[in-house]
This record gives sequence, C-alpha cells and structure tokens, in this order.
Amino acid sequence: MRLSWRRSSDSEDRFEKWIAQHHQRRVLAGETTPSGPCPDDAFLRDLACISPKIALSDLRVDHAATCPTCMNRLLALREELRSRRPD
Amino acid sequence: MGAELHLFFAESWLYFGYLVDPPPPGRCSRMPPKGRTWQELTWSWACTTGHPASDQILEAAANAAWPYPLLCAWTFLNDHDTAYDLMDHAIQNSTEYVARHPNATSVKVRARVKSEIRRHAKYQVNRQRREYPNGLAIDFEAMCACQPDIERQIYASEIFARLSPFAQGIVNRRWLGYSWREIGRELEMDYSEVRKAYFRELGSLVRELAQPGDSAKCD
Repeated sequence: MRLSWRRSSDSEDRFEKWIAQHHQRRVLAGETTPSGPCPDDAFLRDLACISPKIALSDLRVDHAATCPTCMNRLLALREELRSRRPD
Repeated sequence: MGAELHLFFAESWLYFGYLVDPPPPGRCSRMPPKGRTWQELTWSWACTTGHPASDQILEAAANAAWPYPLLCAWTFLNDHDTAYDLMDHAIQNSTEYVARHPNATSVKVRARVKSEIRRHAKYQVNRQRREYPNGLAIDFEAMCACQPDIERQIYASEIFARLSPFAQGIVNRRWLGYSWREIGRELEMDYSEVRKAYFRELGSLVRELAQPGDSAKCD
C-alpha cells in the first residue's frame, strides 16, 4: 500500500505552537544546556526583529534559543518591538 | 554556505562522526584513514585521483560537504545511516569528475559533491517509494484531549529528549520566528521537504509515546 503525505495544516500549526511553548518553558526553567558565551545585546536585538544581517547558521542563534538569559532578553525585546508597532 | 552549514550542524557531526563504516570497494584506490576525528574518517571514504593536487581539492570538498549527506538522509530518506552511502556515492562520482576535469576549482568540486549527494538521495527516494503515513494530527489531538497538563509536560520532555539534532535546530529557529522558507534556504533544501521531515519525526515520536503499555498513555 502506498500512502501519500497529506498536509494537515491546522493540527501541525497547533502542534508547532505547543512545541514552541514547551521549548520556551524548558529553556526558561534552565533545563537546556546552551553552548558558548552569550551574544551581545546588538545581536539579540537583530535576532528579535529577524534581521537579514543574521545568518541562521550562526552558532549564537542556537545559543540564544537555548539560554534562559538570552531568551528572557529576546522576549523583552519582542515585547518592546510589539509595543512600538502602530495598531 | 558550506562553511555556514558546517557551523549549523557542528553538533550533528560530532554526534554521527564515530559511526563511520568502512566503504564498499570501488574502482578507485582508497586513501588510508588518517585518524579518529570526523573529518579524517570522512576522507577515509574518499578515492584517490592519482594526482596529489586533485586529491587535495577532493579532500577539501569532502570535508566541507560532510554535514550535507546527514541532512539529505534525514530530509529525504528518514534514515541517518544512508548518509554514508550518499557520501560514498558522491565521492566516487566526484573522483571521476576530477579525473575528467583536472583543473576544476575547489568551489566547483564542492558543488559537484553536494549536488550528487542531493541527486542520489532523491533517486533513492524515488526508487524505494517510501512514503510514510502521517498520524500526527490524530495522535496529537488525542494526546491533548485527554492528558492533564502535567502529563502533557512529561510527553513534551520525552519528545525533546528524543529529538534529532536537526529537528532540535529547527525547533530553535522556529521559536525565534524564522519561516520555513528561510530555514530551507539556509539548508539549501526545498523548505517543504524540510518541513515534511520535521513533522514526520515529530509524528513518529508522538506515536511512539502513545504506544500501548507506555506509562504516559491516556486511559
């Protein structure tokens, strides 16, 4: 029997959101082990606004996504960016 | 991009580096293995062109391309072990290419190696016609519908503990807000293939955790 791939977008989106929430909870609870030193604030600021200046392969990207200190800073920066946007 | 991919999958190399098997006999004579690190083991697959200068170019290309077969094996074939077959094939093919084009630049040889890896992975997919049922939607809905929050957290911890380095890298980038298209571009892959492979892995983990007899199973 050949089974074809069926995209179930809603479920996948919900599942991804669920994964992201748990990822965030784990990182903020210190359950992950980030590698390398924390990047500077300018890098985190660029990362928060998904600047094209940042290469996804930059090792600091993985660090920022797994370090509680960087994640807290990113969440604050995201909030700051959101509040600046016009409604 | 090769160097960037290098960095991106640095942990994956270390993860897989010790699994190298001896290559099957080919037409070319083998370079002797030079050590225990992943780079040297990778080159132990490679063939010699008979010209030291060409060998050097091929060696550099093989080393630079190594993370790519791991990615292709994960994305297209859902089978990490095939990475070594893909690399074997690409090196053999590129050895012949270098023999035909002794003045080929390192950039060209590296592109050739990566292109062969991708082409052969796609060929293997078509040959095997391996497609997988995706029970993610049903399994995920079932998991969320009947588990108390603490059990869902246990499920999540189990899933994270079993995620491959590739999938973990994608979780990080998705959390940061990068699109599938951006992730695919960085990996030099069709983003829909990367997305499919990611959800395939998550789906199989959810199914594993929902197996009868699992302690976290919903009654």
